[in-house]
Amino acid sequence: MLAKLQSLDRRIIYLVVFLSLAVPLLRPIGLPVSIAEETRALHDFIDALPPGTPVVVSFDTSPGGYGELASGAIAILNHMASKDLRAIGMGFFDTGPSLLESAFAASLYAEKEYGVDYVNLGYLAGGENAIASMAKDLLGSFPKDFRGNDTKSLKVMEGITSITDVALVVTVASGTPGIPEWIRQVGDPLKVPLATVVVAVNVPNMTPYLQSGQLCGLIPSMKGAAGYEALISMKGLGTAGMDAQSMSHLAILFFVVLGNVVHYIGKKTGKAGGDKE
Amino acid sequence: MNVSTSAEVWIASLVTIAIMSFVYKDNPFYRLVENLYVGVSAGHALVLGWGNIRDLALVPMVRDGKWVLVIPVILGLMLYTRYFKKLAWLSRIPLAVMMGIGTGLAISGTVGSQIVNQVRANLVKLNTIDNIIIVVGTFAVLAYFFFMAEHKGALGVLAGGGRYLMMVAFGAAFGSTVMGRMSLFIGRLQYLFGDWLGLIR
Repeated sequence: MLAKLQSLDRRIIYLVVFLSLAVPLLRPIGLPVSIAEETRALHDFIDALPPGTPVVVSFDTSPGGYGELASGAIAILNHMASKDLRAIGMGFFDTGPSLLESAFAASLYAEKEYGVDYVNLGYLAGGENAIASMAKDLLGSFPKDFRGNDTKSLKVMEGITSITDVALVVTVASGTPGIPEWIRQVGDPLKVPLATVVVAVNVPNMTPYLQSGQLCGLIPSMKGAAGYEALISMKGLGTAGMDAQSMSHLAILFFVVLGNVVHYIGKKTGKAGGDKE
Repeated sequence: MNVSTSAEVWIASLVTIAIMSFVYKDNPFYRLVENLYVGVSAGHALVLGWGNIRDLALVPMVRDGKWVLVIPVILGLMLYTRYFKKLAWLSRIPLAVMMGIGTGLAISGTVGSQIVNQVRANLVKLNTIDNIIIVVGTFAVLAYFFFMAEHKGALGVLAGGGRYLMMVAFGAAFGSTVMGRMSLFIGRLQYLFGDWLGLIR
């Protein structure tokens, strides 16, 4: 028995994790959703903005990270659209603007008018240098939008010549350039409030920026999205995925405990299958 | 069950399954889709990169007479001299320019944003448990990385505490990583079960 457990086929672990995810998705349990303080802070910030206020939504992510961020990004866009805020989209990952198009299509902005209520300015190459360039000259950095329109002629851009004309920047980020670059080039020097929808692996790295006030809010992965959806009373992908998330965590915890118990017993009986000390 | 009739959804779903099939074992479908992804990504980046060159350099030069932009264009073209043995040294010039600008921008922002403001955020009143943990934790972790004196006595205790605090941080990071990977997988399963097979709304 011990030997079997020590050499457990990894595919059995994959199967159990798959079932722990798939079953709750197909048969939801309805576990309660908790709302993090930093998620509520972002919600309250956006909620207090008057209609027509411009907010930048920067998609600094690739398809690999977006699977985790989509629910949070769509929840933010839904909230912004319900408050009639102007959404100024852009991206500093080449795949960002394409993902932004799909996010707009999946949100309440799909019912609004492109160029009047929202815009996708497209991609600017250069990483942190590009963010610095955009901070210096927003319209000059994006002369055309993602759909080929002249940016200056769009109604949604009225009154916006600089990044300091927007009330908030939300970066949907999974890598570099991401939050530190935005803080260095826009948040701190220009005093523009920043918030982020971030992949879970980066959440511990973002906590110091929250504590220092350099970020005004944060949506951590799908869990944060579920909390945000609860705040705006619009159930979406985040809420739907929370049961599966919780059950998969139980499965992972089970395997972590099992692995340690088997390792401990193996060491005691002199049949350790893993690292020997 | 309301299976999608969209070719786009079918392609995305089958490609997802092909990539996921790697967890069982390596197979030709996985390798095909992996190579496809690399190719599509490269093509996508090329098209968008060309769009940037056209809108930010060529059009302003030809239409608006901003010929100063010819300098970055030439620098960009010089990167390709690396493919010619005799001219390869020229590619180091644009690289040096990019490194200089990039480093300058990053350092100027880093000092204020990631050092001064972070130190300032640690100057808090020791009137709550959270604040005490923040201040003591910062000193303890810094003590662990202080190598000018042997970790003995008070310094040893502080550095040892810093080590345990870092363990807690690594645990939190691992937990977050698990949550992130599960979220990614949930996203794909929602697509497969919902958009493709119509099993969930």
